[in-house]
Amino acid sequence: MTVLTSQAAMTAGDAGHPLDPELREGRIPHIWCPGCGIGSVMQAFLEAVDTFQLERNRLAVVSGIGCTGRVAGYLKADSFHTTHGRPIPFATGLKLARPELHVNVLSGDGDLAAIGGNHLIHAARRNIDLNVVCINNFNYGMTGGQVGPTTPLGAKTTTSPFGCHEHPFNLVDLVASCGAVYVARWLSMDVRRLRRSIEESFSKTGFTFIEVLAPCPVNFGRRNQLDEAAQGRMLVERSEIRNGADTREVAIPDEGPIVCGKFVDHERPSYLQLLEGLRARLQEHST
Amino acid sequence: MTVDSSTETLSLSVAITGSGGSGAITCGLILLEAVAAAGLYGLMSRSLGPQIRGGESAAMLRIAREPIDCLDDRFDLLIGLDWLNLERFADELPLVPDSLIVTDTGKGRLPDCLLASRAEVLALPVKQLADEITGGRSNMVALGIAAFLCGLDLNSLLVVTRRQLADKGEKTSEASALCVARGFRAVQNRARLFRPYPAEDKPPLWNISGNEACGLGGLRGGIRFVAAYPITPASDMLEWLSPRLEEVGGSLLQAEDELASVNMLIGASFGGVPAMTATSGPGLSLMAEGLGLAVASETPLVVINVTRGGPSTGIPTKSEQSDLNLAVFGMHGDAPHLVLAPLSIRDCAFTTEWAVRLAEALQTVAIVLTDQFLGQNRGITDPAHSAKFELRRKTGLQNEDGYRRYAIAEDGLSSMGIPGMPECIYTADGLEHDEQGVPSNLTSDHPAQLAKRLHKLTCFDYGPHWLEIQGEGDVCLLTWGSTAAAVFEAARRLRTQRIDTRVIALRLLAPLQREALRDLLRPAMRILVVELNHQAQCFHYLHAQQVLPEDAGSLARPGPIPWRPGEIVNQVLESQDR
Repeated sequence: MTVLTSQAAMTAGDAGHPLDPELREGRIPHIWCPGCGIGSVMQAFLEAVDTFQLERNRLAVVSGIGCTGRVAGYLKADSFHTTHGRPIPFATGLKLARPELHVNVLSGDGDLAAIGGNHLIHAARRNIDLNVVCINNFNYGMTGGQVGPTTPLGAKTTTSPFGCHEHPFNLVDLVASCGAVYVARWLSMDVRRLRRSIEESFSKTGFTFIEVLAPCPVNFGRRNQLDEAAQGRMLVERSEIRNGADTREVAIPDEGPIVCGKFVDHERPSYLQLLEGLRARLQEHST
Repeated sequence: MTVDSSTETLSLSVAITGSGGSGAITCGLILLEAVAAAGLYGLMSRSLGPQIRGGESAAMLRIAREPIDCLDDRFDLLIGLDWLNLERFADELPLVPDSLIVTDTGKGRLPDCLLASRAEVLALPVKQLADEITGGRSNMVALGIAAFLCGLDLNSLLVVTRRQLADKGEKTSEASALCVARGFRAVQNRARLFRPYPAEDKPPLWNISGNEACGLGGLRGGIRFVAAYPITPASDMLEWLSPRLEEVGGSLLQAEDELASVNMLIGASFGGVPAMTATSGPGLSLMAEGLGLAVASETPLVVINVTRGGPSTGIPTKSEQSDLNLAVFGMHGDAPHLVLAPLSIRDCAFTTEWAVRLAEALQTVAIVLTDQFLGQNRGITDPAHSAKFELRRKTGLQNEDGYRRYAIAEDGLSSMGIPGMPECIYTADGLEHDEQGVPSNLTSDHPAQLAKRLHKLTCFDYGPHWLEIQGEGDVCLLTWGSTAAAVFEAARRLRTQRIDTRVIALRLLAPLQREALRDLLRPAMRILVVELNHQAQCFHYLHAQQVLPEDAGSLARPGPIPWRPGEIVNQVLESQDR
């Protein structure tokens, strides 16, 4: 039996963790800090893969750089850990090469919305057949807690020591307005809804985007009077589920409710569908 | 008028100029096709201003009985549809007293820069001849004039003209044919400037650009996915590839930028589909990080870099060989990869096919350095046959004891798992990793994987294709890429002057075949490295690799005008006198 040293294994005792078979042997312990939300998103993702009964040889996971970027390396799946910001174009190429694969991107807000922001909007515009889970922890955690495109106004980070003076992105509205067919936002603690949402996104054809708000107690919380469990608690207390809410109205406010839920779920021809249609027309034309 | 006796290749050089929209380029393209129909070899270069429409334009052709790959030192015939803005590119149109200038009597006085050449001037009422025909155009009259002086046959010229203009409708194509015939007859009383041999019974020649040839080589090599961002002068390769990829079951995606395109290639290639892109300097700069990822994760891909004048936005529509440093050294870390350079338009097909197969077999990045001259010029060449290389990507489970994606092997090559192969699941990573692919910063893994990635390239037997070599002699001209054509011709001319000259033209620049190259260079008395860039990039690269003797010289100058053979001959003669 594999020797497990992760917290999961420690709490589960000798029986190991129920998700051990889904994880790569020898890769645990993971790098995430105590209180970090990424682990539970990974768990929700794996459970969704199981409940959706996704065949393993049809699953591909792609991550960028950052704390979330490490997910790809922990899963027992064909996976690729790209450079910073590039998981979406990588995944686009992979999907076009192997349309039968279920190609998932799990990455962070800095990776997907800052350095990779251009790819995010174009992937949504193309409605390329990818499932994206974006874990938003409001800062650049891996590099020590710098300000990012999702850092709330006024929040202190190592590079905004006097408080962030830039407006953050409303990621769900950004992606929805570019044409994603499925857009949702959940808390990393809400594992059950998150799992169901990921599962739902698997059945969509086209570009899906799930933003997961995750606490980062060590690098973000600590500098904003949200130590240890405080940031998580704050997120839970302020969260409010409003399925179908207009994404223009769900920017994360400085105070007051943080709206979660499924905001967009509609149909629009995907990149591959349009390509198939084009090919069918060409075929018809040539015969 | 005679063709310069110093040229061994009997050829004729013709330029047709006019302001944008005058049809000079169309005239050149039809003339080139007529040259091909006559069984002659040819080359057409075009000079355009930076404007998309308007501005100046010139079609510069050279026709010959033997294969030719570079422009001559001077033009034998210059036809001006008008002389607007001519001074902007007069430097590209060298004339000699032997040359003939045809000018339109209705288009005013010749610019002084042309008169200074003391070339013979023939004034003809070109526009007037065209205007007498409904729908007639001056450029078609010019075509007839040029074709007669080039020694072409009228009937076959008319066939070609009608075929080339078929999509413009019958009216236009008939009016054009009438104009062509008028122009042809208007100069019929003059001596022809060139006499083609009667067409031999040989397979039809190809009319192809370097960009098209690269696309063809890519498809032959097995490329089925292209992602790219448009950039001059590489975009026409994408335009050529897009429908043809569809035909062979592949696809082209136009990415949002070059960061995206290179990563899309990595994705497709990781998925098992050979992938390629075309770009130019600014795009290659943006791709550098992604190329490093492909090197580190050992994911094959090919980049065709159609070099333009640099740095920065530089001179997008003109040629230079100034991206060698970027191609060889552009990635951070120690990132060994392949750099190749085709030696002619026709060779673009061969070199690209080889590059694809090498990249696939060696699981690495191949950068192919062409340039605007090779890429956008059209050549009438012998057919370029597929080389049908046996090189393939190694995939699947190879070891009995479980899958190790980056297993250290004697030849440095480990087997790639393709998604969907359940027994070889792995994470490919830009992080340094161990043999399994697990991120590692161990002091043992980093050197071992660096050595693996270098060794697989250096221990590979590249066969004879890494260079072309011609002649023996006391003078050795060492060159690479598109400058090779001018160097080969310069060497032929030097030999007629009893200066024995060896030419070494490198097709494979990285990994440099150091030992083999050193062996070839030892007997040479006087080595000159010829290239088209300001800072003698190849010369310094070869020096750094310690393949050049200390007294080797450099013949480097920047674009935008490619080296001409006579220029090289003169430089060699000068260096001999020294």
